[in-house]
Parts: sequence; C-alpha cells; structure tokens
Amino acid sequence: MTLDDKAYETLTGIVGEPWVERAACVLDTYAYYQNPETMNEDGSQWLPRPAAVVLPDSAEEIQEIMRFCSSSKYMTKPISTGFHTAAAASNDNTIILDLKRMDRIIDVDEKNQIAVVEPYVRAIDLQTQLLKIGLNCHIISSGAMHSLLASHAAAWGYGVTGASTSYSGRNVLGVEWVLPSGDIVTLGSAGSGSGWFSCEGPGPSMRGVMRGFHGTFGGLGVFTKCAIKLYKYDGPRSWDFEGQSPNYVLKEIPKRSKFTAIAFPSREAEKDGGYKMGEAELNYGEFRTPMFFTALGLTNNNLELKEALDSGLFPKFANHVLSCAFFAASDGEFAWKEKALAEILKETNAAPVPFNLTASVRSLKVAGKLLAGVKDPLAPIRKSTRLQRFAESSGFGADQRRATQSRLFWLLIRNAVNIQAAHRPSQGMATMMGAFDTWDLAHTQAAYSAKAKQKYIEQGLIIADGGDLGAGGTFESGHLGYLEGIIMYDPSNPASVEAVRDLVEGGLRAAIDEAMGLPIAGFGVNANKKLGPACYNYDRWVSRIKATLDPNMASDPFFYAEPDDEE
Amino acid sequence: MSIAATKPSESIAPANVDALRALVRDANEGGMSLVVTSSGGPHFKGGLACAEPHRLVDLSSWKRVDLIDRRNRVCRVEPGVTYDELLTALEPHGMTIPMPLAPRSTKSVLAAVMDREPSTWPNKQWDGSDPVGSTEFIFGSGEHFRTGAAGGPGSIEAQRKAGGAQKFSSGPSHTDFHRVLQGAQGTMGIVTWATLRAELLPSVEDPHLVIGDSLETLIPYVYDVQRALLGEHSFILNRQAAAMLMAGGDPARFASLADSLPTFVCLQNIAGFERLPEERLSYQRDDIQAHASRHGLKLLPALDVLSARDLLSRSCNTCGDLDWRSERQGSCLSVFFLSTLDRAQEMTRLFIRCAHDHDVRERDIGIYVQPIVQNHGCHIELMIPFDPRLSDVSARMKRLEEDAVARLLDAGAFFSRPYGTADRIFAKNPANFALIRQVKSLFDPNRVLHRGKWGL
Repeated sequence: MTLDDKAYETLTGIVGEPWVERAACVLDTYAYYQNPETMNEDGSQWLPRPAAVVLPDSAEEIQEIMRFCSSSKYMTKPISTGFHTAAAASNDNTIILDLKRMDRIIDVDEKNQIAVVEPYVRAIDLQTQLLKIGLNCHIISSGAMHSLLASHAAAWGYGVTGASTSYSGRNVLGVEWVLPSGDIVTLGSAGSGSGWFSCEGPGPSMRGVMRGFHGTFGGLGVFTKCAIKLYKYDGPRSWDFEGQSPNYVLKEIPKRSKFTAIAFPSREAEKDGGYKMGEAELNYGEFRTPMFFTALGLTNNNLELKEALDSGLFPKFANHVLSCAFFAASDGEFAWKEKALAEILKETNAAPVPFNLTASVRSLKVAGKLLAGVKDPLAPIRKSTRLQRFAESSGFGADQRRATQSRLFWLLIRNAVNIQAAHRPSQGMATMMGAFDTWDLAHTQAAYSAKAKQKYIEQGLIIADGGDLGAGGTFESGHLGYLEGIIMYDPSNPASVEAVRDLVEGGLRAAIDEAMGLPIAGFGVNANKKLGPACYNYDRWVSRIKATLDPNMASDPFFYAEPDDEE
Repeated sequence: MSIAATKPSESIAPANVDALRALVRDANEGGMSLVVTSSGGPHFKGGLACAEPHRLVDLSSWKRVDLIDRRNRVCRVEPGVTYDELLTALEPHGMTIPMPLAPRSTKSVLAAVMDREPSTWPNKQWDGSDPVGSTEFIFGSGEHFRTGAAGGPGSIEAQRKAGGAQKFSSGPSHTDFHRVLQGAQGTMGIVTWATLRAELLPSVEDPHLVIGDSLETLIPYVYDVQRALLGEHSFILNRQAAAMLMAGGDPARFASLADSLPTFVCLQNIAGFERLPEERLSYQRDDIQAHASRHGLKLLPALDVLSARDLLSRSCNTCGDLDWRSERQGSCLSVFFLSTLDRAQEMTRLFIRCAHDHDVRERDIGIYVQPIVQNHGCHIELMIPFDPRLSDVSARMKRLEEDAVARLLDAGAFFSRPYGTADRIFAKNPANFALIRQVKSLFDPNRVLHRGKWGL
C-alpha cells in the first residue's frame, strides 16, 4: 500500500519534498536484499514493497516521524547501509527511513579512543581516518562498507579483528536513541552531559534493553548517534601498493607485521592453538579459513577455484587453517610474539602455509600430481622451524609470498574482500549456527554444520565445499569464540533454497536439542517463538518491552518482537 | 547519606533459590519490600539504606564456587563468595580475577561486579560490564531468568558438554538483562550466581612506581601505556590515599607515609604469564620504560617508605574487615564518579576547592584515579576520612558531599553508581530515568525490590 496523500503531506512537511519518495520503481529498490529467498516462506526473491522511503537528516526529524507513526497505521524501518534481509520492510505499511543523509563522523577523540558516528558512516570511512593515527574500530565481515552504527547499536555480525577489537555489541560507549514514542534518550555518560565514554548508567544500564546479542533491527526505535570504542593499531599507517583489482599487492610488507596462515593437523589442534594464541595475546586479526575458503582466497575466479580444488591439495593441508595477522609496537614485542608463535606451532604440530609457491592453476595441478601419494604435504615444515623460517624469509618466492601476505592485509585489516568472495562461487550465501561463547563451543557448532551439510552436498543442492565452512575466530584474546556455518547455494534453484532452509531450521533445532547456543538466526518474531521457550522465555520479555516502549507499533516489529498479548 | 533509612524488620537467609523465590512471591502478594545483601558489613556506601519498611535478604552464606575452568578462563560464583575465597579457589588453577582496590574481606565478589566497581587491572576490562559473563537471577516479579550464554538453550550441564562455559554475557537474543541489573543496587532483580571472566595468574611480576608532583605529569604517561595495552595493574593515588591504603590504621605509619611520599604515585605492574614469562616481562619493561622516559618519568621499584611490590600486594588482596578508607578515623567521605583521564586534574581541583569551602584542607583529601575499560574512561574517587562520633564533623561532611556532588555534576562528572546525594544525577537525564521507570515496571511490577530507592 503506497503512502496516502495525507501522510505524504505530513512527511514532506517534516523532511522536505525531495526526501520523501513513493514511486514504485524507487520503492522496489528497497525490497531486494541479500538472498531473501531463504527467509521468505514462498521462496520469493522480493520482500514487501514499503509504503514510502523517507530520508531524514536529524534526530529531530526522526522524532517527528515516529510521533506521526505512533498516531497512524504506518510504522518505520530504519536502514543505514542495508545489506541483510533484516533491513527490509516486513509489510507495506512500513516507511523505510533511509539514513544515508546522516553520514557525519561527529567526533574522533584520539586520546580516549572514542568515535561518535551517525548512521551512514561506513566502516571504511572511519577506519581510513583511524589507521593514520594508530587506531582502529571493529568491522564486521559483511565488509568495510557497512554502517558502524548499525553493527554496534542495532544488529549483529562477526568481525575478523575480534581477537583485538572485541565484538561490536560490546564496543558501544553511548547511543542517541529515538524511541518509538518519539522521545529522544541518550544512554550513559553522554546523556548526562559528561562525554561519550560510558554507556552504563547512571544506575541500571538501559543498554540492557537496547540490543542484546542480536540487536533490535529497527524494531524498537531509531539510533541516530553511536559512540564506539576504538583500539590501538600498530600496523602500517600508510602503504603503497601495485597491481590492479582484485590483486593489489603491498610494495613492501610493513615492519613488525606478520601475515600468516597456520595449518593445524586436526580440529583438536586447531582448538588448542586458538586458546594458546589468545592467551598469548598474539593476533590482531584472525579468520578461520577452512579448505574451501583457503582455495577461494587464493584464486580470482570460479574456474581457478575449481581447478585448485581439483588438484586435491587443499583437503590435505587446509582443513584447519587460521589466517592471522599480528603487529608489534616495538622490536622486543615482535620478537616475543614470533617466539611465542613458534612455541605454539610446535606444541600443536602446526605449520605456517608456505606462501612462496604460486597458486596458479598450472602449478597446483603439477603439485597435486607430485604429491598424490603424500598424506600431509606440510609434514616436513611442521617438524622443522628452520624450514618455516626459510619459507617466511628467504628470497625464494618472495614476490608470491608478498602477494599472499597482501591478500591477508586486505582481508584481515581492511575487510575489503570478505563478502565479495563469499558470494562468488554461487551467488547465494547463507549461514547457520553462530552462537557466541567459547572457542570449543564454536567448533562443536562448526562440526555439526559440516556433518549436516553432507547430505545436501551429495545431492548437489549446495556447493561441495567439504562441509566445514565454519567461519569466525577467537575474540578478546581468546576469551570468547565464534564460528558460523556458511552455506553456499544457488538462489535460482528452489531445491537449493529449500536445502538451505532445512539446514538453518535443522541447526536451530539442534541448537536447542544439543545445547549449542542461540544461533545467529535466533532473532525476530518467528525465531523467538521457537527459541524463547528453550531460553527462559526471553521472547515474552522482549514482547513486554515492545508493548511498553512501542504501544502504538511505530516500529516495524518483524525482526524484533511483537507486543505481548497480555500487555 | 540522603536517605532517612529504616531498619529492616528482619533479616532472612534463604537456603536456596526456591526459598528465595518464595520470599519474592510473598513480597509480591502484599509482603514487605526486600533489600538484598551478599557482603558482610560494615556497609560503607549506604546502598542498603531503605526508607520503606523492608526485610533484609542475606545471601552471604551462599558460598559455592562450582565451576573453575582453566581452559576457558572462567569461574562461577554464588553471591556470598568473597575475594579471599575466590582467589584461594582460583590460585591452584593458575588463575586470578581483576578486583577492586583492596576490598573488605567480607566484600562479596558478586556484589562488587554487579555494582560495576572498578578493578585495578584496566586492560583486562573490555566492556563496562566485565568481568561478568552469564548470570542467573530472579526478577522482582518472581520469574526466573538466565542471561548470556547460560540463557540457553539447554541446561548448564548440557551446554558444558557441548563445549560452552557460560562465558558470553549478551543474550539470549535481543536481551542483555545483566546490564539492567548491574548498577541497579538491587532494584531490578536478585542475582543467584554469575560466571566471571578469570585471568591467568602472573608467574613473574616486576611492579614499579612512577611518581609525579601533579596528576598532569603522570596522565600523559598513563595514556600511552594503557593505549598500548602494556603492563597489568595500574592506578594513581595521591600521597594521602596511598598513606591511607598502606598504613592499615596505624597512625604513625600513616604520618610517616603522608610526610614522605611524593604528591602522586602511579602503580605500574609488569608481568609475565605461563608463556615465556621472563621474556615477556623484559620487553614490556623496556617498552614501558621508553614511554616513561618520553615523559621525563622513571620506573622505580621502591621509594624510601614504599615499595611497588608492597603496594601491589596490598591492592590485590583484601584489606581486613574494615574498609581501608575508614581505618584511619572510623569513617570516610567518599565521592566517586567516572570521567576521562584528561579531566581528572580539573575534577580533583574542583573538589579540593569545594572542600576548602567546607574547612577541609587539601592535605586531608585522598585521591584515587583508576583507568577503566582499557582506559576509555576512569574512576575518580575523592576521600576524606573523618571520625563519625563527632556529630559536627559528620554534618559538615554531609554538607560537603552535597555541595561537591552538585558542583561536580555541573562540571560533567558522571555518577554512574549513584550513592548518597549522587542520585541527583538522574535529574540530568530525565529521558533515561523515564526509561528506567518503564523497565522497572516490567522487571518489578509490584516494586518489591528496594522500594523507594531513587524514587522507583
């Protein structure tokens, strides 16, 4: 239902005529997001066409819009950069608040390591400023183009520098929040005029109803400012590169930097290695790169990927790989980290993947044939620290090594390639499991996902990725761990889409039955109904909160909660 | 100090969670309000003061530490576990826990972390709610809940079998209710256990003192070291606070320290852990020394009257039954709030001027500055010991507190843990307080938990 004329008049009165749109051709651009067919029950690739799109420029304008919605049949759904289907309207009474005009970096407090941003500040925009002054922010793996406010205040996501920059939901130092009622509340110290350094208090922290693990996805008002915690960055503050897309190669590997991929001989060894590296506070960035991801990351197109996999090499050495980056502020620190890593490799019988060898299809084919009878091609390197050092520092294959290290720089520091790569094989990417807790639990989930996928791989319904695409890493120096199970599928094939739905749904049931934690898909009205009874009826609590804070349903409830009937 | 407190009608020690829930149900059916305590007395900050008729629920006998998980660096504690008990339990596993500056021996660990008390180990605190992992609690309504990874699915035992350790604090799903309970001073729910993030016990330590004649001389150094996440325990005391902490109530020792310590002293612990400890300590010491030198400062193992090792030991252990702030004169006015380190000097000067207006000399004021959350903020505490038997002095301290809180609030001090007259901070953010009221109406609809506190 398109916005009626009276409502149009009201909204243009608030934001100005250029900033309200109700033409179908424009509205439909807000009805298509990442792989909606797996979430739509009818498998459609389209989501509901919103009633209108409005582009406000301030919290005050949003306040007026929320008040209007509180007294009308319309509801709002804010988006910033928008990517996941959860950014969409759930019905045609929903007005999309496209926040891209609110794109200001309000403050970077270098001394106290705090940035205050508006909704459309993309991670890459802020990070580009921050790295120059030796700071960084947590960037989730949907890529550096995502809205930092969205990932910190309103949604979820795993980022590859979690080992050193935590998790977005834990990095919030304050928010300005337009409640569904239209009231504007600023949480924490900023709300008392003390600066944006703490989101807790005074007294009980209302951050506790603001987002949780998953976020409210625009279902409980609109966040208009967010203060985020910044972290030290000891990597290069500038860099020169050569080459062209997608292969930009650093002209030199920065001093006191290490980019490596560590191949563990087993899942148990990989788990141990994650804990040990975490305790040693080694890694700045870290991404679990199982066999298929390793091959994906070393190739530029699907043909190369297929031929790389056909070489048979990757399953032999890359089932349990952690791609890592670390930096040091001093030579002493770097030497200690190198030594600590060497110890950990020895203790876990792991080896750095030698980057000296070109990953060209031809060389992989040759190597595949030569090593056909070899069970563990990295065995000599596992046993010899001298060989490891040779691979990492000799002139042999130095250019190739630098090219691969550069890939890890873009991946682990600049977050430049994550999502593009994940969609390359089949255009469809979905995910399952993904509960946060320990690194051991993360692996339990990854192992479950790998096993559950086999049936569909054998049926040819999803990409034959070996099963285990457990993506994630450790967080906060090994205190936490996270892996979600990536599934690559064909969005144009209904059977493939159905397979994904089965997997996600099965994962959700298994999470309940086998106590594997609340999955990444465990949010919104439908999932809450399934999971709530197994999780202390949290669904009823969020419904009560919704009923209390949004009695007139001014915010689209679908990806958060509908009001509790009893209220 | 601002509440006309009534005595509890009785003190009840429920034996278990079922008995506790029965108490909460009774309260909801027309019984008296409930005020919960987990620590032994004396209660220093007045958090238990309740103007309404109430029963005191005493959980100090709940003493179980039933999970110590070295691999995941986590433990689970009940409300009555004290720091001594927890440190003793963790030590054989090679672990310890960040703790407040020399807490009372009867101080409940759970009470401290749920009150967001600052720890002396700032770079281990990633989030303002740390070290809290998961919690179990009872809402004022009597309903039962678990937060974080413990929130499910599955039983604790099944979660552990799957590899979980109830360490993640957020969730389930859209909820983060442990944050609502933290800082709530018992108004939102009653926590029955919490998992806590533990840390490796240092295997070698080389603590140092860094001294300065003003906060301004030390703060740039602290910024550099904290930003680099170098070192371990770290905080700043002025000479009065350091003397109060170290004297242990001995007047002669206090006088000696107060006469001879430098104006400000910063503790800088440096440590190595299980992996390559000496080598870690060595490079960290070099790097920290370089930062100190850049600011014209030195790392000193000891001064004539105080060694860094003694200060570290005193700060990382309990201080005895009486809070160290009160050991000297029997009581202590303590005004504490959050800010950022670059405002610490301004805030402390403001307090000193205010104290002067109330006839308190600067030399009688203790200052404690504690970086928190990896130095994204800091706890600033201003202390004036006094003899509570002297009614005119007590009255003067009360007037000073009211005046100082008002002036500090105007200057931007953030009283995130409002005790005494600091509760006037709620008026600075009425929208937030309205939200707190709405959440209170959900969590504790009949206002059975600490009725009347903050007007809730």
